[in-house]
Amino acid sequence: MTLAPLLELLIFGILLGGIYGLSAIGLSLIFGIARVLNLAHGAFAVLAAAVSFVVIQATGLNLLFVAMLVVPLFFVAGYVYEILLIHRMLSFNRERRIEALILGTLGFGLVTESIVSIIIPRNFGVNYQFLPISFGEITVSTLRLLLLAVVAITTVILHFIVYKTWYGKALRATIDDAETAQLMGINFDRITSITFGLGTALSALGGILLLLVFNISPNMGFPITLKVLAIIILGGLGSILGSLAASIALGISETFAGFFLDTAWSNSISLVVLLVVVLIKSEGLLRR
Amino acid sequence: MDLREHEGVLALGAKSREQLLQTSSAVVDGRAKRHNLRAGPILNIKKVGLDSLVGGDGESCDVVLPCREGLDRALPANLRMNLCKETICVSASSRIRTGTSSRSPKNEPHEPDCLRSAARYASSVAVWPKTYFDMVKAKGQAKTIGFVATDEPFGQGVLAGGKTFAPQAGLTITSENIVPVGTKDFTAAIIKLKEANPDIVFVAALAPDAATFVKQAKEQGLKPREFHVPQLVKGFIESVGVDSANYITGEWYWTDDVLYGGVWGKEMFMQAMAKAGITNVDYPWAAVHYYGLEIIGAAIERVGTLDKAKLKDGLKNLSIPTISGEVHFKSFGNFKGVGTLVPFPVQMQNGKVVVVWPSETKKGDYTYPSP
Repeated sequence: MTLAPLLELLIFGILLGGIYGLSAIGLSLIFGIARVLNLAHGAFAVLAAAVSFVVIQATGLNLLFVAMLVVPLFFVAGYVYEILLIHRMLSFNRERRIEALILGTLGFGLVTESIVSIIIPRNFGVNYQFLPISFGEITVSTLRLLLLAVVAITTVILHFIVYKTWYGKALRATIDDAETAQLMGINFDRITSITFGLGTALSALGGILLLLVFNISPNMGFPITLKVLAIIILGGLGSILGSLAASIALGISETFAGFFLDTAWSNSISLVVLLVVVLIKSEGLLRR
Repeated sequence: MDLREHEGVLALGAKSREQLLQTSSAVVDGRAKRHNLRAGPILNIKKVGLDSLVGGDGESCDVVLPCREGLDRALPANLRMNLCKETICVSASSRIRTGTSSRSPKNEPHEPDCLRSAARYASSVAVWPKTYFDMVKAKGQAKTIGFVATDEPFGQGVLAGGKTFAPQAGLTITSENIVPVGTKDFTAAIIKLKEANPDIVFVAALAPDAATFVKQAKEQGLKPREFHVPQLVKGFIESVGVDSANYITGEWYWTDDVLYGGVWGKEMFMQAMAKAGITNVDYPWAAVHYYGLEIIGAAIERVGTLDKAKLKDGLKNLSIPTISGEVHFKSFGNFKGVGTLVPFPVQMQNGKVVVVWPSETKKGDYTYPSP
């Protein structure tokens, strides 16, 4: 075997991981601040993809423009979702809270997927034809390079928000020590709602990017959640850069497993990673 | 099916009915004679109609076959039926599962073991690619082929056929990739195919998975001289994009260019399709189920019994005209006792799906390699 396919596998793995990264960062932030495992996270990605697909079909608008409309909309949706559903369940006593959060978020996700399957009862995707770029024997997808650029820009913006704004400081303080943060005057409920909005918007953007490279099936929300869960456990809950690094590691693992073992393994490698990391180092491999 | 003793045919005009009688009888007898097959006695089935009002339980039917009690049990389970006491209702609009990929519901009261699936008998999944490879062989330019197949009955059936017929067409198989159903990222398979560099990439998968694969293959720079997908249908074309789908080849089971009349005349099928609001490119499988029904009806008439074992044996000795051509049953290499109906190779050319083989049916020339 020549070096070219190995390099292609590596590059495509990085690009694939980058696509997972946005959803992973979103779930990581949500878990970091509210300690809520939002099992509807992947369903929001599918819903955003479906909304974008319907809008594009109806209006013929460019996906980039549609994303600029849909992502803020999902920020609002996440904010409202937290207030109407999560916030109520967080107020339950400890025994009921865990059950309610698992059943509530899972149920919301399944209902959302069902609604998507009623609106679009088939797989769906959009097509933008970019000719691949060749570097010698290596051919790389221009589309995926562009998506990686979007992920990189989004991560930089997110990093700025988290480390350079008041909200970011409040967010980090709450993740670090919620009680002390509240004593310092930070409105925990408001920060939580905003973070849910931000995390949901990131999941939505991830879903829209998936629309470009995959054909989305309405029921792929929960599998996305599982994959993202493996990533944030690998990267450390609440860690932005850890989540991104873990996403890329998982993307590379999937492409290499698919090539050297079997494509079936590339689908299940994330769950294997999740099991191994939970057993060996439950706080995450990349958490400092 | 003896239409001469009909009572109250509801939607077929008398003129066309008489034409239908003459045509079907003549064709059936002629084909039976040519193939030295026996023609059984004709059963007295009283009505054949095209009218939703005659459907059982108030449900809309596209074809209604009132018949003797028990006949319903001889029909294939995967044809949608109202098990009315005196009628059989078949709806062209129903999303009927086909061939070997179908499973009967657990609560199916009578899984007809003698005629489990008329469609399967008429056209085994494994022999579907035969005409495609006949076309490739006739063209004589392609030398190598790589397969991508989903790990489910349809994909494996088509793959089995492809691996049988490809060497007969002079092709060397350079790559074979089995992927799970619903695979979202085909990168590993695509890189393997890039390494193998086959002339033809044959995607043995149902339309959703085939669309995802082709979309990613083009995005990642896999450039065979031809992509082939068995199901070149509307869903696939929309997913891949019309421009990207151009010059991809596929297989269709029927087009209105096909010259055959079938048992009841192709107009009945076309009316049922129109009534259901679907076109051939939307749902080409409707033809498969319709000719399955034609075969069952003709078999019962000719064999003259509802006994399952006798029907099964009799079916294999008959020659029956259907809307997709004449079917009788033979062996294709390792595939024993399957029907002779095979799809027509088609190719997407300038945004339209065109039949490109065989010569008596084709509406355009097969373009290879893809521009």
